[in-house]
Amino acid sequence: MKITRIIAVMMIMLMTLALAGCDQENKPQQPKEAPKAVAEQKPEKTAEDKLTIKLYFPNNDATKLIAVEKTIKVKGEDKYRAAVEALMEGTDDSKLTVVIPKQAKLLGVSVKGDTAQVDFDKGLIKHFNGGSTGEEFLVGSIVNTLTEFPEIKKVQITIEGKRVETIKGHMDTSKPLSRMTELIK
Amino acid sequence: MKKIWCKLLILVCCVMGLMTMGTMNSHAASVHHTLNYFHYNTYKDDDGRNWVRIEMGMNKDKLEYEAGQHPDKPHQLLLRLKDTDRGEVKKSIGLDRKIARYMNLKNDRRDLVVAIGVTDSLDEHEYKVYTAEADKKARKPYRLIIEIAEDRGQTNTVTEEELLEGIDGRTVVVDPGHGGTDTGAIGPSYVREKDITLKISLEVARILQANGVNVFMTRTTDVDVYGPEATDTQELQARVNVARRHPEADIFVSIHCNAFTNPSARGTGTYYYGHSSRDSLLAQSIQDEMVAATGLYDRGINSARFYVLRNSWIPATLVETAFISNPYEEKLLDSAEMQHTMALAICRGIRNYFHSMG
Repeated sequence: MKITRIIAVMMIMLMTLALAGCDQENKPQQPKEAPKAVAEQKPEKTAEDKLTIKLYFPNNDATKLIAVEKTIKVKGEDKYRAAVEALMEGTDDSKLTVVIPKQAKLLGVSVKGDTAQVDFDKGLIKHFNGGSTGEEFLVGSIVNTLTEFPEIKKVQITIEGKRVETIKGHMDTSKPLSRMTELIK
Repeated sequence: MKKIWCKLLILVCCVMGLMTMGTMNSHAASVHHTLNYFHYNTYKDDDGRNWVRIEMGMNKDKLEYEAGQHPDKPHQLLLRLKDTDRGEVKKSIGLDRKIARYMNLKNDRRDLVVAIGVTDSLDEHEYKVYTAEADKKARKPYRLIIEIAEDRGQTNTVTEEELLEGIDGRTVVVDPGHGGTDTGAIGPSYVREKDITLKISLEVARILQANGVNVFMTRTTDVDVYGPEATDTQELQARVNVARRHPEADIFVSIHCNAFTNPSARGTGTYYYGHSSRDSLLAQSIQDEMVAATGLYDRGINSARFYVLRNSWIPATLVETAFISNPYEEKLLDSAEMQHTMALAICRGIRNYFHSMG
């Protein structure tokens, strides 16, 4: 009786050791996965730059995205962030709806290769009511606005630096999304 | 290479650890109940329906047990008798063969697991499980009694409009959207998506089953499918896995309520991913019936990168019944009448899909 108990305890200890060993082996790979890449955007002029961009907002029926042109001022900060901020500010057009919840905070926009990473705080998920259509147009407005820049082909939405599989349980946002042309028609 | 050794070591340790734990367990206090009586017979009830009745007697009363359909074998009624030993009762017993075929008894740690194989899927049989006190006159001990009928009786009959022909024997996975810790979208009058999707889905399951369709649901109550602490992927993958566990499943149908920031958005729409043309055919079949039955604004069918659709191995569709964020449609969704109308429309769409697939 005592012997079996001792054996059992020893086995559990061995297991823990073995598991810990495997864990250490995996750990060094993780930092590579999360690059805190700051946009390699070199502002050509330190003075204010004016830029006319297209922002995408859904119509009130949520049947399509409508492009709205807006001239934004790009100071030292990069134009990608400015574009998302302009999208979050919204539009005066009463036929259009601003889908990004007001409580959501933009933490950063970075570009790597042809992919833009847009990072929000948890407010984006917490204050968004959901629905397939809501989620499609939320994601679509961001993706289509950023892919207006010819050098950007894909957009990855992250929450506090981490990739999320879905915003509200429908769309698969685990991988970068390419332009959602089906919403523009 | 190092990884493989690691894994091997874990495996060996696990097996040996479990073995030693096992021996420790069997030395522990002996189980509470021991079977000492077995009897079965068939009889006809007042409606002329045939039943099989199985009695398992034991030395002590106050048995705790669970009973239900086997999660992977729809033809089995599975019982778990807590703290019970098989005693002298045989491991495998043949039964009447018309209603129930066999019965297997197996000790599982401290419990006794009893599997009763029935002739059709268990959904096709009405059954009762209950305990009876010792009967000294009849010289019977305290018993667990299981009664299984040849059919499901009057519990699930179809009205004329619910009669759908030519889908008997098909298998459908029904996924009520959201649930448990995830409420889904919430309407302006606080109607919750997860409640409506469950009600419509249960109605879909009832109508399909009544028409001979084998239905598996990802959830039948207000729960998270994976678990309350699950990540979003675990939760969505758990729904997909229900279909993967049933290779006989023909289609996957997820039922949701739509929502949008602006309350004026309205209508009914159906989504597919488009692994094959069957996905869009299934979506269109359901969409057509939904529009015809509800009269709601037709948002058409759309392809979308939805997790449950992308990761499904069988034709899959996601029905966005109506907008819970629209005050008018929220009221509709909350009415039992509309829930029935929508469920029936979804079933008709499913039937039309199966018909066009031949």
